[in-house]
Amino acid sequence: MAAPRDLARWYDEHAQALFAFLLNLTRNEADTRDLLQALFVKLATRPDLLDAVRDERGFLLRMAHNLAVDLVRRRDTRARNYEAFAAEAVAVFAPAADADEQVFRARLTEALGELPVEQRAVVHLKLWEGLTFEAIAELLDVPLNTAASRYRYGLDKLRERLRPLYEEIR
Amino acid sequence: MRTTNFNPDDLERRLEGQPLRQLPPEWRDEILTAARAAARPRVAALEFRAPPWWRTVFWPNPVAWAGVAAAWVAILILNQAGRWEPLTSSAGVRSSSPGLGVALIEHRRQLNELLEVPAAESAPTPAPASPAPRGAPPDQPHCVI
Repeated sequence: MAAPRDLARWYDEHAQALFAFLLNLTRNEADTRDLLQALFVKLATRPDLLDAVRDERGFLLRMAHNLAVDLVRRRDTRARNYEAFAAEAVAVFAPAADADEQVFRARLTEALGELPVEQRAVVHLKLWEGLTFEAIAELLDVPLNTAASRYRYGLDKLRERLRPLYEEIR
Repeated sequence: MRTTNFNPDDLERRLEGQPLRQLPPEWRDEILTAARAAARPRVAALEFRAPPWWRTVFWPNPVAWAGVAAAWVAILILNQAGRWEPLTSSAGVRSSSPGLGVALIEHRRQLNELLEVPAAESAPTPAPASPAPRGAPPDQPHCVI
């Protein structure tokens, strides 16, 4: 069993990033909480998982991604509707004081929800975790070119979707 | 259209600058508590594998074991009650109550006192049974007093 202080430290250092990533993948707050808890239960019962890991954040993001993918596969009915489900309005970004900014964030949330989960994961890790394509490829266990092309396709879709609004409010 | 000035790099930078939603602070204690609790039952489960010996013996059906115990208690009670039976039968009297047996013993003690028989001989000793003659009819009772 993990020492309580280790578990708390892991939570304090990484839970925010894991939460944002899981929320963007699942588009559901309850699922996000369940997966985050499942991840920390795993860490509590198998603390040796992080023994030989140099990049804790990357390893935990990989665990989170695997849990999210498992969730999608487990829930067959939901998996079939997952793309539609992902487009549901869930607040992925912090609320903004400015009305235009708030609208932009809402549209961005919707546009992200329209991306396939694989593209959304790469876009999230590149834009909001600041990972390189090499790191993303390793984390998601895909070839480097696949990671790069998923990002390019995803960003193109976001650009297309957000272009009118972006031009309007810039 | 107003898309001529659209710069992809600007959009990327703008997207990067969007602050992500904050993790609900109340989740911290809930998740950490749940994680620690989930790790604990494994120890409890190991302890449960070694129950006390009496639970191992009696657990499969405690009601049946209670029934067996009650039956033994009943047998012991009946056995105690039946202790008077040999005394009365040796005296040639059929007695169905313990009070009568006590009265008989007292009576015998007084009789012994009157006849000045030593205490050691006060207990009735059955006379040695003489073998019946071979030709004697089997329906004649042997009366031993």
